[in-house]
Amino acid sequence: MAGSRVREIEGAVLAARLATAGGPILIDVRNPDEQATGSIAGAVLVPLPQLATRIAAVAPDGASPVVLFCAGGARSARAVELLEGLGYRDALSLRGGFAEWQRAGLPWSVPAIEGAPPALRNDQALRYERHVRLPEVGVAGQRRLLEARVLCIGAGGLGSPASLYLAAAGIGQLGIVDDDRVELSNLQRQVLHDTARVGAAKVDSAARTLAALNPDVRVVGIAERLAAANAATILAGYDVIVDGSDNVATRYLVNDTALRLRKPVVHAAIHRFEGQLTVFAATGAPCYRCLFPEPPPPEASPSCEEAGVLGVLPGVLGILQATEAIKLVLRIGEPMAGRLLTYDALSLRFSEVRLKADPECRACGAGSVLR
Amino acid sequence: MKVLIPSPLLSYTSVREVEARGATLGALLSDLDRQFPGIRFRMINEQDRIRPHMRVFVNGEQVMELGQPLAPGDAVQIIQALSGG
Repeated sequence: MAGSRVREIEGAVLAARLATAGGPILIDVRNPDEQATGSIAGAVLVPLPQLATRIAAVAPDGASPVVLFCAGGARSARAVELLEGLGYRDALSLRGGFAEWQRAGLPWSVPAIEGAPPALRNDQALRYERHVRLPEVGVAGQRRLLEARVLCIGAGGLGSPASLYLAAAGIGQLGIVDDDRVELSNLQRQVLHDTARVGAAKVDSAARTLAALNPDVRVVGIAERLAAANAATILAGYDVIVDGSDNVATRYLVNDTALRLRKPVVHAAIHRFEGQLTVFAATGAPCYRCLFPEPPPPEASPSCEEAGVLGVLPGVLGILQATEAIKLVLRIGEPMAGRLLTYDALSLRFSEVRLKADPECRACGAGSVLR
Repeated sequence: MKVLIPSPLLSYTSVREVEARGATLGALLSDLDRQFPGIRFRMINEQDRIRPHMRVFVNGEQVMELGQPLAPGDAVQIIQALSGG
């Protein structure tokens, strides 16, 4: 390895030298997306490909002590060799790189980059590091997630996996509407809750689980049944609605209220081994009433309680709902608007159909009072 | 042609994918009803209209009329509003 030839410095030694006057010039040679997740305070950020052209400005004197670091020590070893070739006589590579520095508990912070959105806290930079690495998310996208407000209708089969992943993703405010209490028969699929919480209000159980997973998330439990009288007030405070309700009346109410408030709804519904998913985007795209103008008679739409449901089925659909909600917040990819996905667990088959906006739709058509 | 049956109607067909024939959607549904008596009425009302909680898609596109022509290779999917969550 390069380490056998290139002179290195231990993290603890470097930390001590940085704490005294006349310490070395510290250079972070990682890529900008890596630097954005955190660096050592006082480091000059010079990605390795730019080092040869920028070093004269950073360290004009070839006798100056210079310490270079990268993620694990490989690139900084190459950087030391490059500087030695340019006549630098006191260039060292940080052993084990920034990863070892962090593991040792040495001080670091998220650098402020000019023109960039507010940085993440150190713990957030670590927690969301795999998000920030994605060019489609980055620091700006993670900030957007942290500032987003998502409402989950129901803390049941769909709401459990959806809210768990939304909380893990760092959604800033997660509202949970549910007026039920945890029952033993819920636990076969409603993974937000546990055996000790049988009898507890679902919103309280959800808040405990989600807060333990991610204290960044402000969980707002609303222990009410969504009704015409409270729907607009509740939905108004959120950017994206995730509908995991367990009855069609609530689904129509969510649709009509969200249309009026121009909020997108990530919709999923399940029956036995089959699930459906779509996004009602509230802006010209078809709505729930375009697809199903009238509810089925009660005998044609039995609940999970009456019909039974494979416990893992809402897991698949709820995670797809969380995915769509995150895409909507980040404004990336292609949302499921105008398309309906059906999933059959028994054959493990997904199929997709195209939805059409109905110009005569009572909710979103030209003559609707909701428009 | 292949017809995908929604979960709430599996009590008629037992399987999700069935074969049926017909030059129009109406004829196809009649053939389905011959094989699985009673299934047509779950989809079509007394006025010969598709029930508003049932939707029919041919090759992924929604169709509304029973007179819709069908070709042997078409894929038909019937979708019903589901309530569970």
